Amino acid sequence: MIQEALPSHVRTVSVFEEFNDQLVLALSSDTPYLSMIDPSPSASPMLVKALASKSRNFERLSISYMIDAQQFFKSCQLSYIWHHLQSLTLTSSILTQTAPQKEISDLLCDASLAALNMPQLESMVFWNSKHGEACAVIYQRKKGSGHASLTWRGTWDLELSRDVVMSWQKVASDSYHLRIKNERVHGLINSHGDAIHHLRLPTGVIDPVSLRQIRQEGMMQRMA
Amino acid sequence: MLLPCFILKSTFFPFLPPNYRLASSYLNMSKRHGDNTFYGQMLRSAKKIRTSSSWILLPVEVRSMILEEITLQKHPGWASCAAVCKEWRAVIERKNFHRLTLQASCLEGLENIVIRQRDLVQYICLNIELPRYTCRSCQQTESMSWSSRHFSITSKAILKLFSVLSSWQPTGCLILELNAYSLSDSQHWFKNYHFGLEHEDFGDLVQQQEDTTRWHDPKHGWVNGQQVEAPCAQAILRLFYPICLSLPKNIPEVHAVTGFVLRRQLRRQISPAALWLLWERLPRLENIVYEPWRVWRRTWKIVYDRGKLLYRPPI
Repeated sequence: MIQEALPSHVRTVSVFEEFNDQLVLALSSDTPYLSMIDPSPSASPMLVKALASKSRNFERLSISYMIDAQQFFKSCQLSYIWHHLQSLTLTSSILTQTAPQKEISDLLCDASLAALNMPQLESMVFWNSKHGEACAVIYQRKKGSGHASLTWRGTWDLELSRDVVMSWQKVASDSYHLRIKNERVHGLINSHGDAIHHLRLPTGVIDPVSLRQIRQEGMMQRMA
Repeated sequence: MLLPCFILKSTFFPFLPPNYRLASSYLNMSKRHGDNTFYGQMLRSAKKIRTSSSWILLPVEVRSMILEEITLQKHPGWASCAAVCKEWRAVIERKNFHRLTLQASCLEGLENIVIRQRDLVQYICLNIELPRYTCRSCQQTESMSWSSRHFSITSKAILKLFSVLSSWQPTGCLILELNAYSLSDSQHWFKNYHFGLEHEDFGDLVQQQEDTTRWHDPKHGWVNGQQVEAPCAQAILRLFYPICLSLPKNIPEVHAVTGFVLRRQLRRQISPAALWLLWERLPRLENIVYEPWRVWRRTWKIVYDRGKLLYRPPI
């Protein structure tokens, strides 16, 4: 299992499953290959379960596109305690402009329950992007500052529900004042690289050179 | 370098040529005399400076700023400045050996040349160069013999790298990156893709955009900088073909490495089972950056999932 394969001394893991919709389109339009192609993310439920369990050993974990945050929290057991985890970043396909707000709230409430068992947590981020839109929900708590914040940042506005705010106030604890922020992102989102850039996601989501490559390839693709 | 430039030109050091930064004046010599004579000129200049004591008269901070500037400008031959004296060597070598980008053929050199400077190396990127291919095969998935050649090249290169590094003592942080590509990859259908070393410099965006408009290769779908035809499925699958499914179990342990990076510029696939084995052979591994491409082919997906989940390291 993945638990055995990843050495126990690994502290920081950043996984970014890269994809290109134009290539998938080209593959799918080539009839003999149509049945051979499956454009969905590659993680099986077993892998998600293994990663959720393994995450208890990490200090910083970021997984983009390989698994979905909804699956991740559903795979976490109530008894899990993340003694070391300071930062967690995940993508979720539910974070779209057309998704029912109830489902987004459910994800954020599930996440807050897990976050209660992360005593060192300083940052938890959920994000997603597709052509033309991008959004992120960012929880941050600076140790010793007395301040915590829960930010909605996206190409559209979304008011975080009362349940969500209350559940994250619990995570921040009584000694921290939780500020709720709503920030609108302006900028063209043509690639997931543009999304990471405009959402000002924390470092560790993707290698900085890779980010520049994605944005530049996207730009050249547009020019092409 | 605004500050030292200002200081050097100001009344503090009136003996310096008015239009030259000190570091630049050394470097400009190579422009006048050609790179072959640059090194000799430099040594002579350094000697001259020592006898007139002007370099030594400079405050340590300013000297160090000048040396830093040399390492930033990276003028051809800059690394040979390390031979001037111990002070120069300390600064130049620290920057020169900080990050090593190697081809598989450089690994012997890594073993035999980089000995005293091992502590200075903090990043090693191994670019495994795959064989070039022609238009006879650029629209075909790899043949069995071709892919087994790739397996062999990749496996040998990784094994050699781990063998060399296994003798390195752990010091601070050392990050290891693996990459592999064929120079032909960007010469046929995928002209707009970044693959390796030559695609890491993002300095001149305008120049790069101009380069883009020069792409004209109708045979591969590019007309006057415009992609008018998408690559066929076989060309795409070729680019993303696996190059490493497994590695020899006797691959040596490397204690010096603390970080592992596999970036999205590596289009070809290294199977999870092979990666798990590598990570297991890095007992001080703390940080992993893993940016694999999504596996589209159903059969590969099954193999990969099995690799991710069922692989058990040998006892």
